[in-house]
Amino acid sequence: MSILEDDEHHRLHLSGPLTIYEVDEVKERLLAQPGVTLDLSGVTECDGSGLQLLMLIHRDAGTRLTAPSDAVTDILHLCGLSHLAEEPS
Amino acid sequence: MTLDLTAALQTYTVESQELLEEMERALLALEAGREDPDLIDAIFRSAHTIKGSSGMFGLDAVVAFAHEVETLLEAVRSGQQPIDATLVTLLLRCHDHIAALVHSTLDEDAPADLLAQGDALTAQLHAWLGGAPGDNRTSDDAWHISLRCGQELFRDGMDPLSILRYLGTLGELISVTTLDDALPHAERMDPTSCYLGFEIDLKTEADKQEIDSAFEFIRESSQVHLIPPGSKPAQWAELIQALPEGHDKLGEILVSTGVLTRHELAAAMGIQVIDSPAKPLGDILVEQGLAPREAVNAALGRQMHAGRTAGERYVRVEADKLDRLVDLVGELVISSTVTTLRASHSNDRALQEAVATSSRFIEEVRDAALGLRMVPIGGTFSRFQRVVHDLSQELGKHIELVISGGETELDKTVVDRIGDPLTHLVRNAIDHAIESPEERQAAGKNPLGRLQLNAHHENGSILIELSDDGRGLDRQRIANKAIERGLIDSADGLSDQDVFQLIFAPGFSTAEQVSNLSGRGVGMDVVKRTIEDLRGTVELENRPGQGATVRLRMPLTLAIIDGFLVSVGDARYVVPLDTVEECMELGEVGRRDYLDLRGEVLPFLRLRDLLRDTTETPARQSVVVVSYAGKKAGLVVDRLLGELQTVIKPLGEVFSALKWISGCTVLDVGQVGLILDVPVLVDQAERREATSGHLTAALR
Repeated sequence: MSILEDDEHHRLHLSGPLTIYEVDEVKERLLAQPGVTLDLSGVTECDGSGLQLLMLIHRDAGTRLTAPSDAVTDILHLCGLSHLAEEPS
Repeated sequence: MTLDLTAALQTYTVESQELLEEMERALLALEAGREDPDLIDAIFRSAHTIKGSSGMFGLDAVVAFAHEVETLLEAVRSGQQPIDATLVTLLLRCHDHIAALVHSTLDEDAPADLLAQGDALTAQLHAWLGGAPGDNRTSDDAWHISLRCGQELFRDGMDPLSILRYLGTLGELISVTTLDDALPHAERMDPTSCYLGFEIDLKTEADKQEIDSAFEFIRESSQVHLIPPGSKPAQWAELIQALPEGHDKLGEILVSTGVLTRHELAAAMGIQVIDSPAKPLGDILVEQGLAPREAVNAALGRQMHAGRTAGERYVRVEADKLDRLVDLVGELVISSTVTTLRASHSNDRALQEAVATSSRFIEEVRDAALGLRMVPIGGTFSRFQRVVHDLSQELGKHIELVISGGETELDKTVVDRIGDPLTHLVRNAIDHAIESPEERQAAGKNPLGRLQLNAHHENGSILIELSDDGRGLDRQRIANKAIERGLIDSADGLSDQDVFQLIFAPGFSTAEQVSNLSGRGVGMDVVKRTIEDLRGTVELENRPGQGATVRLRMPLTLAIIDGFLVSVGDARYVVPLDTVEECMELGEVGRRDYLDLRGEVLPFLRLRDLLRDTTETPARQSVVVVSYAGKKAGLVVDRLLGELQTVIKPLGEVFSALKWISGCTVLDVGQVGLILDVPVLVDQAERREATSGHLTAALR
């Protein structure tokens, strides 16, 4: 898992798995930067805890979720949360 | 229904009535163009609280309808639905419907036509909400699954998403709603704990056991509820009850996913509250000691949370208890007068000081006790906004009602009794006095008519004025009508005031007027009689072409008054102090019954004659100058005995012939004192002066 800053577009790129093993670190990193746009196109795997974290930062840190990868799109759809992530602009 | 429940139900109706009034006020303020989110909140709160308390009594019709209103209001509140005049009018009609429903609960079940009316309104409400009627159920044959994950789930190596996927293999997942209600705020949230909740609709051929098996490994730590297809509202009620989110939100999810219709939801919520042992009849039952406060608070906590946070806080007290208190305080005041008197005769300074202190407190207690019965008249006044709104719309007139002095306080019984006469006067002004916009424009007036309702205190009485800027009273028309109705033979020689007073005569109002007043059966004569029953007076002021003012003057009917004690012969009389202007010695007047008060004619009454007192007339007599409604008169008495506080006790029927006595009181020496009715006496003195033709010239 890695989080890279894209200076040009003022957004963060999250890539690799987002599971119970990563959520602690991701939470810390993302809460430190409220209001950013998070690009999810590189997320290879996402479980319930990952989804829960995305919901949290979306709700409490105002993080905009964008460009969900297939793995993310799949679970958002499963959980009726497709509106959570925006299509890439 | 047991006796206790009946009492509780009455409290419920009274409370609902107040909430409805609040709702109406807010709606009318909205209509008047005020844009204040607090108003929407107030309306929403009223509907919400009524729904909640109606649920406690299982009044499904009210619950269901209030819920519909609430849904629309929620849309308004969230800004999805702009509010405009048409919507306000619809909401006002909904308000009326709720009021009718609440009212009908006292007798029996809501009558069928009322329910039909409710259905019509419900359809209109739905139309506003984008034509989404409640019956959009998609999943008649679907299982509903509520899942609340245990926090340990992730750490135990489980994932609710896997369960969802597994369920997906059993059939078709019609809808999944993920809930983040249990998800704490970021700082307190542990990413490895699971806080998620799911509401799932699953269409499947699988049986209960099969579905259940999906939750086999998490059953220990999580909450799972399975509701089979075609369940009864009661089962939904149980579900809603069992889950932590609060039924409003949950209910909405169930409706939006199509699992429940709005009607079923409303029914479920009605059941939810009455079926559950944790939700007894609320505060009323606590008061009656039938339920512990904690249980009720816990059960109602969520409902009441949205309730009156900003509103005033009240304690409901039985009127009888209040009267008893005022009565006792009255006795206390009397007995303290005796103590003060005794103390002043003794030489014990310490005692005198102590008595002075305690009588100061007693005075405060008196004021506070009397204040309990006093209510501001504003509540009654604001009701007329609605009357003006409805009636002016009906008649195609534009009228605004300006209210002032709403904070003026008067006795509750008076407030209760002047409501109807005032309503009649207001309706009358709208109907007859204020012209149509076209007529007004033609007369060079503002097309917007203006009604002013004002209250203030004056001379120990309360003065309520209703002014309009309409066409004013037409002496000729009134006279003609009165002649036509056989009330007078001719208007010649009658003063304007006398002619105008004819509209208060029984039989003056015409039949067409009565029908306009929606069968209230109150004519102007009833208005006058009601006011006179309250020992008040009605005056008219006419400004031809510019409007008229009706003045209602009523005593505050305080149970205790500050009085001025006088004596005639052996008897003592009390003159209400706030009517006393001054006292003077009666000079040499011979048999005249008027005197010269600094150049003015002052008619006076000899109480001695009035009372037919046969004791010897003392050499020096005094005059108490009293005034009422701007008129003055003198009362000739033997001796002036000074001020006192006294409790008015009503006189029995036997004394009803004594017009000039308004009550009696027990004096400190155990003697009875009669309280003089100053308005009657002033009137009598004036009338006698007018008939005997004493003119100012006579003095000169």
